[in-house]
Amino acid sequence: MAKSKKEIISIQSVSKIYNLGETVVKALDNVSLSIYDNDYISIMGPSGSGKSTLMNIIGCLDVPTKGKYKFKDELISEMDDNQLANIRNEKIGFVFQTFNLLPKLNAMQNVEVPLIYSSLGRKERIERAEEALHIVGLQDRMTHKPNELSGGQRQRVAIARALVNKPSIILADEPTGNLDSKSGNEILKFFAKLHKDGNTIIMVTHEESVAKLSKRRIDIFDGKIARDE
Amino acid sequence: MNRIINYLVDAIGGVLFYFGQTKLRTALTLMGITVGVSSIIAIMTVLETFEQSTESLVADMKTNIFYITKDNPVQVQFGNDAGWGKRKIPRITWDEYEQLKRNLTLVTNMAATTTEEPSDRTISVGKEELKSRLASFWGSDGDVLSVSKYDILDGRNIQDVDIENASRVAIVGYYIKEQLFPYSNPVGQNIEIDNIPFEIIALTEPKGELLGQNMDSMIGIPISTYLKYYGGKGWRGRPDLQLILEAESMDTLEDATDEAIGVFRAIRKISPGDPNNFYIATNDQLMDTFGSFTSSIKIFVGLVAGISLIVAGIGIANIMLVSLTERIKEIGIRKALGARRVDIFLQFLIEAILISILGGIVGIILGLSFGNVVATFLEQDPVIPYEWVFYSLQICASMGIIFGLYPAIKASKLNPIDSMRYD
Repeated sequence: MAKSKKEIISIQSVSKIYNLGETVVKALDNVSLSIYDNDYISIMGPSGSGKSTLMNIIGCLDVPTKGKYKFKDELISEMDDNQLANIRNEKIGFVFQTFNLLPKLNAMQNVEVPLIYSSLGRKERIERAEEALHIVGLQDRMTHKPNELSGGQRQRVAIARALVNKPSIILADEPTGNLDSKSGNEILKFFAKLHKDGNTIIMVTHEESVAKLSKRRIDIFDGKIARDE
Repeated sequence: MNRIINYLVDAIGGVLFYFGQTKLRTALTLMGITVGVSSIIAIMTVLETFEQSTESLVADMKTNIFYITKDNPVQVQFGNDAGWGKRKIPRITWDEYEQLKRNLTLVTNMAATTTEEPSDRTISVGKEELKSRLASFWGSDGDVLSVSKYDILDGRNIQDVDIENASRVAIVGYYIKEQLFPYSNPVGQNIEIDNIPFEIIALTEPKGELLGQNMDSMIGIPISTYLKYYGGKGWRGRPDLQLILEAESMDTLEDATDEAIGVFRAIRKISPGDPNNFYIATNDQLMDTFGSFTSSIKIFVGLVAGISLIVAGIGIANIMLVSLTERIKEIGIRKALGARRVDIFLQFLIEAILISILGGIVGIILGLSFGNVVATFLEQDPVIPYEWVFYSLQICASMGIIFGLYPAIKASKLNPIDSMRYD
């Protein structure tokens, strides 16, 4: 880990506690973590370990119960819903296991969705979406709806959508989980390329083979970081 | 600004997509609005055509004129209670007319007319008979033509000498010429009314139809002639006169009507405190009566349409809630990608407004078509009640806002993590 790199994310003593009536669940317990520019991290852990909670907090979908979360110089842990939405929109690109494309929209329109919420004009939206679809090699499939695309192609549309706002980090939650091994490998190769091009990638996975491709591996167990190397 | 345009484009796309997906459901929801709006527009269209034709009629009439009649000149009553009253109310007689004429000081002009509308008299020229019923047959000693706004196409008006002599002269409408004198000028020729020959002294210009009545199927004669030949004898045959009185100006109209009421009550020896057994009305009152009639219809239609729109609104709220449940995942995804609460709120609200306005537009088109078909059937000119078209769109937009509000708020508050997991 090169310490000279610029720190993007700083998580200090973060806990997330869920009150489920009688029982109290500590999903994250006093976790501290720094993520640097151009990191390629995989987060591993069994189900229920708290890795999804960590992902949600890093992705600004949720806020910690305790502790500080700084994204660049902004204090995420103190933000309200709308500020979080703006951070998600401008700084984070999401790639989900189940792709999460909107079925009614074609590839192009799906990629445009984040731009709808960033006050861009129509012309610029189209240019940016086309560019992103070029990057993932789907320039010939722009008008296809998700149900007209293969699993690998759908995930590439989702990656294009994640890239379209030029985010600071790309968060991928089991990006190959729903794909056959051939498509999965293609996606992973693509992530490697994105990393090489200077992007910061954080990926949740439970597959060793996938985790090996990343440059840094964090294991979560019982809401704590068990390994970070 | 860009953001607003983005929403609109996005919402229109969303609405169109959901119409495609749930055609029947959306159509049924829209039907409520469509029925409400189309009934408002249809009734307003029909009323507007009536108002237009009566307004043009009344605009022509002199406003310093008033009438004394046996029956209410504007029969606007529901039910059949008119029969009882009629039997008790005496007809206005020639004798009463002459007494009135002698005693009134504020009236500059006065005429008595008797009108059969329609008339069952046999109208013939030689062996040729008028096949349809004569729409209007009147006798008068005044200038009915100018009061009723007929223009003489050829010939002369009835003159005092005709009235004094009870001359058998007649003014005929254009329809009579078309039917009985298709190839010649009727002026100077003879016409028989119930086998009594008359000389035609004038032909009036065609007027067309008013409220379904053929204004050109008309014959007018001097009132003295009418009383002499058609007045009949005994109670049943005695004609009922309508008196047309003209005050000097609008300023003296009220005093003149007061005087006429007083004098006529004296002639009829009505005790103080008893109600009038005749009607007195000015043109303005006639219009007011018609106006209050149309406004009560408007209120009634407004109520019915209002109820149907509320029901329709609940339908919209319902469909938006269903659509919300079906799209929880979509909302979660949109939020994860950066949609703020207000973005989701506006998306849903705009969709609700678009649905209601679409229902409204269909309703307006149906209502205008239906109303104008009825208007054409009643032989009125087609109209578009722009005011009501505008109101309807406003009502629809407000309904979209009111009934879309709750689903939109609910959608905006969804949590992105839970929503994305929803299936």
